[in-house]
Amino acid sequence: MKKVLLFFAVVFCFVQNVQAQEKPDVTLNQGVFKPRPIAISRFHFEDPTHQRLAEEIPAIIERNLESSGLFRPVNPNAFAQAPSSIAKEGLRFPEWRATGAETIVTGQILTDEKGQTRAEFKLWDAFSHQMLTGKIFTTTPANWRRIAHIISDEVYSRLTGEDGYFDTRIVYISESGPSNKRVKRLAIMDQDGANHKFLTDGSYLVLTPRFSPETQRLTYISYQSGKPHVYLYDINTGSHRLLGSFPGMTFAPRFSPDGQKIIMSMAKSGNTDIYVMDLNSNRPQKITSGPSIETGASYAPDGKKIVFESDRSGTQQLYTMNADGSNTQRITFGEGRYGNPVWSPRGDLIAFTRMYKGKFYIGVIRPDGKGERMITSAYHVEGPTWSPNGRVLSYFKETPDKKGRERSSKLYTVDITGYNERVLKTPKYASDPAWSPINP
Amino acid sequence: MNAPIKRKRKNNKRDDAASPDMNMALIVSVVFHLVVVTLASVALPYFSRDFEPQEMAITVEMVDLADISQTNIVDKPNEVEEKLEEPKPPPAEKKPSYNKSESAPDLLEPKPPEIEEVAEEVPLPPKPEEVKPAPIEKKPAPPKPRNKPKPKPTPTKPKEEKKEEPERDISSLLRDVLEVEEEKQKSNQPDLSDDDSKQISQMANLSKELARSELDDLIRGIQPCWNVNAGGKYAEELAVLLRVYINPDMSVRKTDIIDMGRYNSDTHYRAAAEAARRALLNPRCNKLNLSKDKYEKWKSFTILFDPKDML
Repeated sequence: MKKVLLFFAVVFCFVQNVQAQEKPDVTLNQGVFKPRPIAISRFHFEDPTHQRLAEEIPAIIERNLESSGLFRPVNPNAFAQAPSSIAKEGLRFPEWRATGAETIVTGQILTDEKGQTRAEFKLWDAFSHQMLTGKIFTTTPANWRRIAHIISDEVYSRLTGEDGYFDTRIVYISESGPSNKRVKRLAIMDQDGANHKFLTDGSYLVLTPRFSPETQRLTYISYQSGKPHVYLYDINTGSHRLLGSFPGMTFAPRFSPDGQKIIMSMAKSGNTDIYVMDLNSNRPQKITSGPSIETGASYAPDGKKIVFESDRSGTQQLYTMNADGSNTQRITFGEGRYGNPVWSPRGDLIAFTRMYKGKFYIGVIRPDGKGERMITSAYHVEGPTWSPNGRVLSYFKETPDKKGRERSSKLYTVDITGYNERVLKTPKYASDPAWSPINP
Repeated sequence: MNAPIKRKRKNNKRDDAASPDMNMALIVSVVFHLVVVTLASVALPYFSRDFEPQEMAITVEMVDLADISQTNIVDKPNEVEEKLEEPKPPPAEKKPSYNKSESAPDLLEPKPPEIEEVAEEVPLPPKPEEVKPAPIEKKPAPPKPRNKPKPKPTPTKPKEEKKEEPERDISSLLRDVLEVEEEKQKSNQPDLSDDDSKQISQMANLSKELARSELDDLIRGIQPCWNVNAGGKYAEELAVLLRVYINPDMSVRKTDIIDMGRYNSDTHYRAAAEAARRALLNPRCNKLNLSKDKYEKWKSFTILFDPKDML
């Protein structure tokens, strides 16, 4: 009897499996890759004091989504319904479809019983008429920009399946003055360039800021004491502190994924190796050895692997190793030199700088060394940093003037497909960007 | 000495007596084995594909959204289709009069799925003084700070950065600047907009067989509306199988996502599935390139949106 039951169970499983894995009648394996049309309606409001928010929040959402290169906001002049009409009678989908929009964002600004401002948004599928997501945020009116970024992230995330990156900031080195006498200051701004602030006064040189993936802290190199040393900066308190006190230079610092350790390079007796330093104990632990130069280390997001650059093969190439320094494997073999590796927060790619035939490139490669691809190039392009969702890279490009005497540098962003390269506007010249995690 | 022989004979007798039952059992066993082997040969090939394990847990968000979606769906496919055929041109601005027969979901009825309280203030650093850029004449020229050797590009020949316009309708959607520069592989980047030779299609279900040209027509009608999330995580693994139901006029009436388990547990898959569904419901591609005499066989069929070859 048991055997009979078992037999029927097996047959049942097969049948289920066959049903679940229906063979397709048609297979489509070619499509297009272009920005998706999205209609972002101005928000509805009843209190006249909310008019500004009702106009500016959707405007920011529109700019954010458009800047990602994945969306094409429909011209509001083509909209069939006013926000008040949407609030009153709902969306008239056929009319919205006629604008070409595939999805529609609607919203309204309200005041709750406590007198707080409430921003509500909804995302709709224009074809299936389904509401895909919708949320309400309560905040003070002064925070409207952040609300716009958070809503942008929600829309982006719902339509791509990936986390957003609009509610983030970028710290970078602001540069001014002639090339031979540059004033370099640590500066921070929202990812769209708003809320710009300087964090240092320019009286000493600062370089290579790096955001902690978990906390609101930065690490950077400062020449405050004359020699380069790694410092820690707390954004919330504004405090700077020297990280350890070492006889030699310390440089190329970067946080571990949990934000509790810093991996950096230290030059001792003419040899440069990689060290990991626990921020609680402040004790550095050397994880590479040998006469070659090992530097530019960056952790994988799971903290188990590290990518770094080394000249041990005679030319500067990229290697991976376990977090304890074991199991080193070379992953690049191309001509020229590779440096500045940065592991993507989503773990699937490593970005790097490559110098080849007198030109600089920013490229990406998979951690197993496959799929190497250059996604931008310039006279001088360097310092890749990942958006927290691992979808966008930022870096800086330096361009000499016509006489070749002065150089201007600007920040750029590009989608990892290699398309949609854009300039990030900054008040002055800019270099060494570092992308923050999503704001807490 | 004879005892063992006798015992053997007894045993033989017992065997003879039981032989009809044995035969029956043998037949049943053979039949069952045949059934199992047949089923295995039919179904085992399906195991060759890896399917995502379906998570039992349903996220809070999904529960909320499912509720909301269902309360808001206007499931009038026929009515919608009629309207899709003659889409109204967008009124100039804020035109209040319109045909109310299209019942739109009530925006105010459903509770928003989630309420999030945003922090009062964006936690920005306590304003570091806006210090005027002090001249740093005392600072010695900083030692080369970069952690890697920098080849010095000769500044005498600054090269104008020539930005290339993205060509997105290409087979490989990931751009390699170096390859473009070296003009290595023009032949590897077919433009799939018009050229028949780039169509890679296949029929799996022979009962609905179409001529190759008919199949290509069908596919060519849908693919301009299938927007692939190139560059997305696991994008190449997000093959989505849909069941499509069509109207006698060959317009898509309804689509069902087959793997709802994965749809409900994998946000990447959900986005890919919805993009595939939008491709079929998009008014530009909603009317399938199938002759009307095919309706009976094609009123319901499955279609796999597989981006693997594009990425």
